[in-house]
Formats: sequence, structure tokens, C-alpha cells
Amino acid sequence: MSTELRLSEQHRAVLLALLREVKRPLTTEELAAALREAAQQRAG
Amino acid sequence: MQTIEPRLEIEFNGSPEERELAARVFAIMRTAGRFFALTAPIRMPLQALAEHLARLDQQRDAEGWAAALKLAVEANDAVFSLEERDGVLYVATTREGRPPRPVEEVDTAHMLPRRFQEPPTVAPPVARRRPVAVARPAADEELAAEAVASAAPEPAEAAAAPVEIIPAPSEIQVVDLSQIGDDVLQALVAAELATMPEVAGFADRWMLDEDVPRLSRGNLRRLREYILERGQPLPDTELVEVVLGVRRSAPDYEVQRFALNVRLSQEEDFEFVGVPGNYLWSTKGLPAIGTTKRRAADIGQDYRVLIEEAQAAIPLSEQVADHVLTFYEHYLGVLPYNAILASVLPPQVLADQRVAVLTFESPQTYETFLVELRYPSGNRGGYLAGFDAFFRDSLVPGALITIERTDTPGHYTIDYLRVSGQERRLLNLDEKNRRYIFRPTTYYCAVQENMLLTENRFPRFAGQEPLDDRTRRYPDLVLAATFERVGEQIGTSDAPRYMALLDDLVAAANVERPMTPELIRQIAESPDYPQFSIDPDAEDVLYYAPSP
Repeated sequence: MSTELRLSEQHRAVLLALLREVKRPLTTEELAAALREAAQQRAG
Repeated sequence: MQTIEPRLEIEFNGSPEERELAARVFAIMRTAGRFFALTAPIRMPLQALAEHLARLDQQRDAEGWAAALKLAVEANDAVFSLEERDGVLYVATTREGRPPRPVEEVDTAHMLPRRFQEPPTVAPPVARRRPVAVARPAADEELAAEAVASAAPEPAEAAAAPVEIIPAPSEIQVVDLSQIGDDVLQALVAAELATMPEVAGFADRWMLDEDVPRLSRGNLRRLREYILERGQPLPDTELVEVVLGVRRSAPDYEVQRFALNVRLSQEEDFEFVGVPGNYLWSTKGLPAIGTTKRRAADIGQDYRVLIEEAQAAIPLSEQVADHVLTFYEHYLGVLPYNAILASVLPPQVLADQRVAVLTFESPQTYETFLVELRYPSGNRGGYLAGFDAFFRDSLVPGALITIERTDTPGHYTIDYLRVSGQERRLLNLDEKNRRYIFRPTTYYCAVQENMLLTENRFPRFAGQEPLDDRTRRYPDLVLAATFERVGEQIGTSDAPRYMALLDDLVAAANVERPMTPELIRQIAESPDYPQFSIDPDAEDVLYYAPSP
């Protein structure tokens, strides 16, 4: 049986919000960086 | 980060012995299903549990334990249930310490998955391939390994008994992103986006699907016609500019380019054949690149010996690669996707990408031609095809070639050292009569002598037929035939024994199929092929004694 890491619902919502906002193709790297920044802001 | 699960306090009923036995069985089952959802059923055959207990504690035999176990389970019906399936009695529970709940009958007729699985007959067929960037699967494995490593172990007896449980994939949600590195986060983001139907992705770029412009039927037709008119795979940039009429300076140029790639990847008539930095599209009806003398699938089979070594190579890690041409490669106009060549060649852009089309330029002959790089897949090895005319016109088997990566993605140069004309009688295949013959040949390229197939060196090849396909499939049979063609008979006529040098075997075996020196050595050393042996005293001297 496999076990896998998943992002939380909250993270998924942030990714969708980012894509919805910019309306242009974003790279995985850009999205990961933006997601990390959003998480840091929330924690801070 | 993993959420720590609260410890369960379960009170068991029955006599002290029944309570102890029930607690023990629950611990075994909970351990077996430790990665399952709290409410997912964990089922184990009662007999298997009894046998396991009998092995650990011999105060009772398996029958005795089965009877005691049944009583303990029945006394604890708030924790376990007994289920009979096909005459086998199962003990069932869940990680939360309750019997599994019966599955509710749900009317699925109007649920989305059902509607997707059973579309109305009038629905048009939609071919949708989701283009997936190559980097992700590798990261998935790493993530799975990390997740397993981070899962908290539960102290309990491990059950050796077979478990029949409805598998539920175990997931660990990452809550704190500061705990994971950039590479892992990027892999997680890509994996997550790839599962979202509302997101469109191509290679490592993503957009909301609703924001990605669609291609009309007319545009698709024009794209196909344009590629066919130009007669070769074309880059996305050219297709967007010329066919869709979007200039590079237009504000939506990148969106239109992304849309073209996403939408074409969903069409059956188009195939992505690009490389990182140059996304090329091919369409049905373009002239085939590469030889027609042998089927592509068969060449892939011939090269399956290279799968492992090519996997170990890091694409684009080297600038230049040298290679000595074999007869097989010269005849078919192919080159192997081996560790050396794979290190200068581009990686796949998409995980399921079959082919990349490259351009090769020969500065010595002033020609540029298309080459198809077929990536390894399944049990087929990878190779490059399309060198037929260049090899035939400029090189001979044994020629030394150098392949160099240029700054333009997917563009390579192929060089050889020009020398004054040499005339030798070299091995050729007379295709009309299907016989090997030696022909006087003048060539102007530097060669590696030990790969040159001259009449002086291998006179017995003359007049021989190529091996049939069945024989060619097996490297040991090809090696045996090669010994008979080029080896020295040192046995008797009743008990022949052939001796040959590794260099000779490599040059001659590669007439029929790709055979690396390592493969030949492996066969000769393998106990599976006792007919072959290696001289323990003399270097690279091999023997073959056919079975009587």
C-alpha cells in the first residue's frame, strides 16, 4: 500500500486563487514560491 | 507535518482471558492496517490469526486458539465483527475500534464519476491526454519514501497472517511548509495541480483551464495543413505566429502559446516531439524519419540491452560524445541511446513523450538533417534514427564520430576526422541475395581498426546469410553464431571448440544486433551459458564449445 504526501485543502485553495488572479501560465517553481510566501505571511 | 493521532482507550469485555486475547488481536489488526483510514475495514481470517497465536504461544494448538478467539471476538461485538465470505470466517474491525459499518446503498446513477464512465451515446469522443512534466514522478517516489519514514510506528505485535483488507491509499497532509525543501514542495505542487480538473498544465506550466483559449476546428485544420506543407515538425512559436497570427510582442502571446501546447496535447492528430527550450509539434502524415529496413519496434527490442545504462545517464550533462560506428548502426542509420550519448541528448519534456525530433548538422558535408530520438519505453531501448544517407555517403562501419551539443536546443553537430582515401575490401550486405559479401570500398574517414570488418580479418563471413529474427533476438545465440563465423576452431571435427578475441567478437556480433563488450563478457561468465568461457590466463580470449 502506498503512502503519499498531499497538500492541504487550504494550500490547494491558495494555488487556485493564484492561478485565478494572474490569468497567465505560471511555472511550478513560481507557484511553489508564492505558496510558501502566502503560508509564511499567514504564520507571521 | 503529520497530525498525531490520539491514543485509543478501548475497554474490552468478557473474562480476563477473553479481554486480554481481544486486546492482543486488536493490536495485531491495528498494526496491519496502521496506514488505513480510521473507519476503513481491516479483515483477517480467524484461522490465520489462530495459527499466528499458536506459533507464538504453544499452550494451545491452532484449533484451540480459533475457538478461544471466536469467544473473545463475540464477547466484544462493540469492537469486532465476524464475517463469513466464501466459507472463510473473518474477524473485522477498524482502527477506531469499532466494527466496520455496512456500506450504504447509494444511488450513483447521477453521480459525476458514473456520468463520466458511462457517457450518453451521442457524446463525441474526447481524447484528452494530460501532459505531465517529467520531473514529477521521480519526486513522488521520494515523497512516498519520506512519508513512510515519517509515519509514527505503533508498538504492537506484527501479524504474520495474511490480511484481506479493502485498500485505502494512505495520505499525509502537509500542514507546515517550512518543514519541506523547495524541490519537495515543487514536486508536491505539480502533483497536486495535475490532479485538479480545473487546472490545465503543460510541462511545468499551469493555468486555470477556463482561462486557456480553445482552438477552433478551423485552427486545428490550419495548424495541421501548415505542418504538412512545411514537411517537418514545427516549433510552437512559429505555429502561434504564423497560423494563429499572434505576434511575439502581443500581450497575450505567452497565453496563446501555452494554449496551443495544451490544446494540441489533447488532440489525437498531433504529437509533441520537442525538447526543453524548443517545443515541436508533429502531425499525422509527415514523412517518417529513419530507416524502413527494420521496424522501429524491432530496433527498440534490439537495444533493450541498453535500458539500464541509459537510465543511469544524466541528460545534457556533457557537451561532446565520441562513438565508433558498428555495422548494425551503419546499415540502419541509427545510433544507440547508451550512457555516453544519453549524456549529451535532451531529456523528455513530458513523462509520456515517445519521441523527440532533433536536427543534426555535418560541418564537413554541409548537410543538415532531421533525426528522431526514440526514448526507451517498457522493454524497448532507446535510439536515434535518421542517419541512413549520411552514414552511407560519408562513413564506414568502424568510423569514429563525434556528436556535439550546440547552444540551440535540439541542434547537434556530427563530425568525423577526414583522412586521405583508404581502399579496403569491407563487409556489405547484398540485399538482393540476402548474403554478406566483401566489396572494395574507398573511404575518407578515420576508423578504429578493431571495429573495421575487412575480408582479411573475417573471410568466413563471405556468402553467409544474415541470422533470422528469432536467433537475433537472443544475444547468446548471436554470440554462438559469431564464434562460428570469426573464431578459430581449436577442437576436433566431432567436438568443435572455438577460440576468439573479444575485439573480433564485438565487431562481428554487432553485424547482427547491438552487443556491447560488457554484454559479451557477461554471457561468457554466466553459469547459465556453460558453452562459453573466458581464458583465465590470457586477457580477452573467449571460448565456445557447442553442445553436442
